[in-house]
Amino acid sequence: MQSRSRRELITGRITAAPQSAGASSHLASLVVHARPDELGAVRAALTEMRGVEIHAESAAGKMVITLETANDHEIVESMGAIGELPGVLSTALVYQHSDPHERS
Amino acid sequence: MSRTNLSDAAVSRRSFIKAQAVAAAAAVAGIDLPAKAQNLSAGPEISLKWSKAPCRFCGTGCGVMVGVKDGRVVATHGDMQAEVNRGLNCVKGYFLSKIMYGADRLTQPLMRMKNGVFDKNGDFVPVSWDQAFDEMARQWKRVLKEKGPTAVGMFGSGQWTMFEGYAASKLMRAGFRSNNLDPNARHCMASAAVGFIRTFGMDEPMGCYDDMEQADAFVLWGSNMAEMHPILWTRIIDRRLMAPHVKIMTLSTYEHRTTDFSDATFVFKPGTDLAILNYIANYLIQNNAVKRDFVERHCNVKMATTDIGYGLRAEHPLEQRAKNVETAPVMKPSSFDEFANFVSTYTADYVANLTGISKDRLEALARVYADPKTKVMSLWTMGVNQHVRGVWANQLIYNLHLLTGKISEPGNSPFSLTGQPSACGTAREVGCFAHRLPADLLVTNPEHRKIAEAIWKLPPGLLPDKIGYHAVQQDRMLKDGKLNAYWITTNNNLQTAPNTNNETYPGYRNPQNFVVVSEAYPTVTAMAADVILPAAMWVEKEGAFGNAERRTQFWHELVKAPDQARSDLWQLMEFSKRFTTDEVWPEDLLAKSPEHRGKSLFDVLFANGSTNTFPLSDMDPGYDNHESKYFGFYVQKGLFEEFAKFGNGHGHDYAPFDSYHQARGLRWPVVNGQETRWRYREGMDPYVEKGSEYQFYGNADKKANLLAAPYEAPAEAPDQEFDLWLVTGRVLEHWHSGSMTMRVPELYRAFTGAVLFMHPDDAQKRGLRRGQEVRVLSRRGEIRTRVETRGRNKVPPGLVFVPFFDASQLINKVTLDATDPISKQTDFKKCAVKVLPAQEVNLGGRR
Amino acid sequence: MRGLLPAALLGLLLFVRAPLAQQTADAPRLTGPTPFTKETPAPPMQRQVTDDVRRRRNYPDQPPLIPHAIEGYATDLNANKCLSCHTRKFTEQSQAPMISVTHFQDREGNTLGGVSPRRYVCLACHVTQTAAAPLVPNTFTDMDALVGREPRAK
Repeated sequence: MQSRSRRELITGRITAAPQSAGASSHLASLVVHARPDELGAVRAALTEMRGVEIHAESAAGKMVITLETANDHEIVESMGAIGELPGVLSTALVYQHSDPHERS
Repeated sequence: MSRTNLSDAAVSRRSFIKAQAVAAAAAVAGIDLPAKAQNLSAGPEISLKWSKAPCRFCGTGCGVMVGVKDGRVVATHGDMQAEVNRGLNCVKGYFLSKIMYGADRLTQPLMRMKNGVFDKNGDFVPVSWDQAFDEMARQWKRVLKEKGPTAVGMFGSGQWTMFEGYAASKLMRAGFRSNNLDPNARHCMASAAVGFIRTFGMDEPMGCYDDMEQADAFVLWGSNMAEMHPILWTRIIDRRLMAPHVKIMTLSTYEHRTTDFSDATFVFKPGTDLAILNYIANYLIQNNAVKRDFVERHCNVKMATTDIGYGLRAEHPLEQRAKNVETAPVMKPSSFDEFANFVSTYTADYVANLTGISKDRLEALARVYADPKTKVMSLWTMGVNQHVRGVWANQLIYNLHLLTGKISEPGNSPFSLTGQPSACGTAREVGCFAHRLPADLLVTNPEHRKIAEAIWKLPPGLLPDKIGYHAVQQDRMLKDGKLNAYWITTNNNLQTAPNTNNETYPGYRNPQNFVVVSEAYPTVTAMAADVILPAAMWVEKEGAFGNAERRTQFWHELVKAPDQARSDLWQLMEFSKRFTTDEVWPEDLLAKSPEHRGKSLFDVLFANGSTNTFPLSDMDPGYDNHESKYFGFYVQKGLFEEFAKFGNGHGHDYAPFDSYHQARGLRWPVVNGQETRWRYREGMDPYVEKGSEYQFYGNADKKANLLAAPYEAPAEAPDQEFDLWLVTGRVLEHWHSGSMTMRVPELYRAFTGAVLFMHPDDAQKRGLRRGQEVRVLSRRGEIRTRVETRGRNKVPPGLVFVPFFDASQLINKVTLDATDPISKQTDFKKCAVKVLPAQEVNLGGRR
Repeated sequence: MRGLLPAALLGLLLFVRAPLAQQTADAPRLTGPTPFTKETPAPPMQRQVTDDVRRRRNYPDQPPLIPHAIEGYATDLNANKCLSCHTRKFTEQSQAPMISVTHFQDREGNTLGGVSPRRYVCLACHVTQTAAAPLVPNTFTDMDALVGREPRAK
């Protein structure tokens, strides 16, 4: 049940992954804006990263990706890493979901 | 659910969330997603099957939409199309999805056994239905042979479906030839039902819930609607806030959530409501507010028999002292002048002094009824019904509406609220009381019995003519060894009956008696039984309820009952197969109708050429129906259409069976496809003749009765030793004895245990702190509970309130088994107790 | 066997079929004292949940539970303390969840400019919670796959 505090959720200090499918209990979706001419390289780099899935992209260089990690902290780290990839103009976090223990 | 299913669900839930996350980001980016990327599990995988059903809690009869997936109820919400509640449910209704899923659900028959055979002192052992029914049949036959039909009995329910109540009535009265059938509704609205019959010759309200949007004033007489009828309360609050001239006035013996939302609250001394009612009648007469032409044309005046005792055991000093116990129900013809003279003694001074309400406030209340321009809706429930003079109290309320002609029209409405979901439909219309047959017919009336014998295709003279044992009397007769084979179903009477330690429990455990309990969960009552039969609940069977505004509502079987749990309907009908007419009917009757000879009770009661008329092909193919498939005909339809023959054409008309599966309920009488919202009024009720204005056609002369009845004191009042009034009742979050709601974690956590609501001054005087454990003692028994000096109920000094939902704090060990002598309904609102700290008890080492 | 429907096994939890005595040992508060006449101590009072953490709903239409204390809140014809945080205009200050849009509809289904009076009695549907452990588990199955989807498509 709900045993974690709001503070823990905010700071992402939750390490024990619940009994869910896989170790990834946190999910985020992002819009990654890359230079159109470097889209291929960015795509390749993203595909290499753990927990990243590309869902769609546009000719203008926008990509829709999801990040699945064990905790909130990793999401922040991954976002930072993506932002520093060559050719990436910006990243925008759109949706974030963390799975508390669902079963009582 | 198995583990595999669980993780499947988790996975599909996760992919759904992911799809959402992707869709949200795509929208931000302005990208159209390729179809394959929307890995949203669409289509049949995520669709639920939604069906309508009435809520199975109180008498309001809210419509609920029930969502089913993979044979489980997974969601419920208020039905937008249901006129009663238009999309709203109270917190109990919103949690209906979980009531069937308590992990300790009973799923197979259990019998007390030792060495492989039934033994009253044995432990519960799982048995087959055959074993359970075999033992039951053996016991029933033994008792019938030794003592005859008066020694078998059944305690049923206002939570039975109409079909179940009807089948039970047939089995008991026609099968076993016993009228010892009574519903738990006896505890709840017998005074209301009897009050209707004595006033209008016909049961149930003339108005309906639509009055709530029309009234200018609401006067609540002993009803905490905010907690007990929360959705009707939202309709009243809606009206009050939308139309500022509207006023809510609440009379009660303590303050509560309803009084919080009232414009005026009148806290009176317990029992003195009778005097207030007579004061208002007097006020109306003194101030020329009586609609004389209405009264002359449409009313008779009657004088009550007084000094009628308190429904206690005959040897009780109070019964010995009372002069007119035997003639309690008699009403003598009287006149308006006599009535005026009778109520003239209820002056403002006298009544203010008696009740504790000031004269000017009494007058303000009376003016609401007196003002011809104010449309008044009076509402009442247990404060009026659970009252040793409950029948009078009901009738004295009708007096006010009859004197002013404020009746049978939109907004002018004396309205008796009911506690149970089918108190009206099952207990009253079907006739599950010890004195009643369907459609207001009576067991004591030979003409009425003839009608029933004809419709039921029985040998003439078969039906018993003696009124059976009522609820409280059943307990007494069990204890006294006069009622020996007893079936309790769909109620938890050992928790809810009065004075249980002395009058209920001894009867269940009396070695001469064999007690069967049909239940969904192991309740206090089930644990005291000899056999427990696992019961199907709510949408695990096809059903019908009748709510407080005469609305008949149907539902389909939506999910299967767990394992071997079976509906009461199946239990009753299947049990009837174990008896033949030769075993239970007298030889002289069989000699006269040889065609009944040698047949099983199932054959003569249910496969009788009437109940079994409708084939399985009449069923809606979209829904299952275990009873019908088992017995081979559309059981519910057959029972209903047979039952409807009693009332059709007699003011109790029902629509054809199938139409109830379509409509969100219909209010009877349904004539030419039209429901009736206001009865007894020309132009609104098809039974009222042209030019008559009003006809109270339940009575032969089509007039209603005004009743002159006095204030008489309660059976027990506080004295020096037992110095507090005890009031018992419900709370919003729990339904009656809590057997369902205590198993829903959210409801349990919302009101986790019973407490003793006490005025802070009273607590201080006794040196008690909030939360402290105390003993609540009466002359009959005691319980331990905890003190609450704050919270929702604000009791006056000298009065305490304890709810009865908590099986670990059985307040009915303390209550008094006094009843209204006419209706036989218990007064759960008035007895004398004392409250002591529990520490002294703890020193005895009982923990 | 006469009188027996085909067994309707629903795959319930194992202990449901355990002997009754075992079941009831966990839940004396539901079955009462044994024997019935025995006097028992009152259960302890339970701590209120006041952590302000939202509880997941069992299904979308379930009214959210109240995760904070409401003692002393004025709720009457003149004042409604609940609304002073949860109405739309106060939610920025209070950071409380806004009253659901369903609450802006009247009986006829018209959407009003504010909370409908029929929704004024908050506590009819929304309840506080204590920290008490359930008396027995409830085997209700969550429609997990549907979280976040609004089923009332009317």
